[in-house]
Amino acid sequence: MIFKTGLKEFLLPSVRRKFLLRALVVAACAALIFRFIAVPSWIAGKSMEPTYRDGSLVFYLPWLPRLRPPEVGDVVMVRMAGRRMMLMKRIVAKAGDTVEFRQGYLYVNNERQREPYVQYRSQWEMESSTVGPGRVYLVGDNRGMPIDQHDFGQTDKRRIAGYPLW
Amino acid sequence: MKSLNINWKTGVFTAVILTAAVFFLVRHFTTGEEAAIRRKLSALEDNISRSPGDGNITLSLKNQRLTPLFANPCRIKIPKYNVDMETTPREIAAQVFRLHSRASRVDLRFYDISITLTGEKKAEIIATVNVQGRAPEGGRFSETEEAFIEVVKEEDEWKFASFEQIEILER
Repeated sequence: MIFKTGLKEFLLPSVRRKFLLRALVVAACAALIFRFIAVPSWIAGKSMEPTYRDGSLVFYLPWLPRLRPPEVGDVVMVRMAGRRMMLMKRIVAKAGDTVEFRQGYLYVNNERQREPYVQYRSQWEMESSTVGPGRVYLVGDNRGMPIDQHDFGQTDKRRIAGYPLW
Repeated sequence: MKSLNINWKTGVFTAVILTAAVFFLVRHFTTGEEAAIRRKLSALEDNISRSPGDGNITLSLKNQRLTPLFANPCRIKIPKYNVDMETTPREIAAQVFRLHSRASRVDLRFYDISITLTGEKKAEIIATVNVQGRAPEGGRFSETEEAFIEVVKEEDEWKFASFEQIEILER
């Protein structure tokens, strides 16, 4: 009987002032967490495969770039006109570095990079380009697609909107 | 179920506050120049998008509704594809017609729209544009870019005067 009453109360609670207040606090906390602390985001696209799969869910931390500046190797979310649609890429070089692709391999400052996260690779070729001041160079982990179909390049550091939680 | 344990004064006060909030929100999003521009963006989304069920008559109507949305000339600049040209509303409608005949589904959406009125008859929009689609043979395409759009007011109607892709990643 106690169990029945408890279940009924859990599923169909009496709408009292205390209950409304509790519901309001839960809703406010959820809104605060999912809006400012760990923001949910769906991945649409294959440019970060196999690290992040098309269609999977990630949470990103929008406050972390203010505490820890982005570094080479970090996966970051890049803001466009706002935060509803963003790009997800990996930082491969910082301001002042030169970036180049030879036979599918990334060269930073003329040194071939070890990239354990890259599992698909095709013959990308790109002439050397220098990263401008206040900018970082971003590339996706999926290098198996033709170079023309992969969006990559340098962008302003201020566009970095967060780091994925995992 | 027990009734709500709130006195009538609190109830009336809450109802008045909620009604006022809804009224101001609805007014904010449905009147004024910014709302008129948002409606033009929605019209652009509706008339460029096509669902697999859209027949020739629907597509033809959509095409007819596109022409009055653009100023003449309209500038289009897409650095990614080395496009920088001035074109006419008719030419834009013809290009969309070609897109509709090549794709069984097209979905155009604007996100994170910010509108700035720069004059009585001029405004600037910054938005993220997402186009997704499917070719009849099943191949999918998807493109997301940030865009800078200029609109001008002609004969009491807002019209799109230029579209420019903002390069976020520069090789």
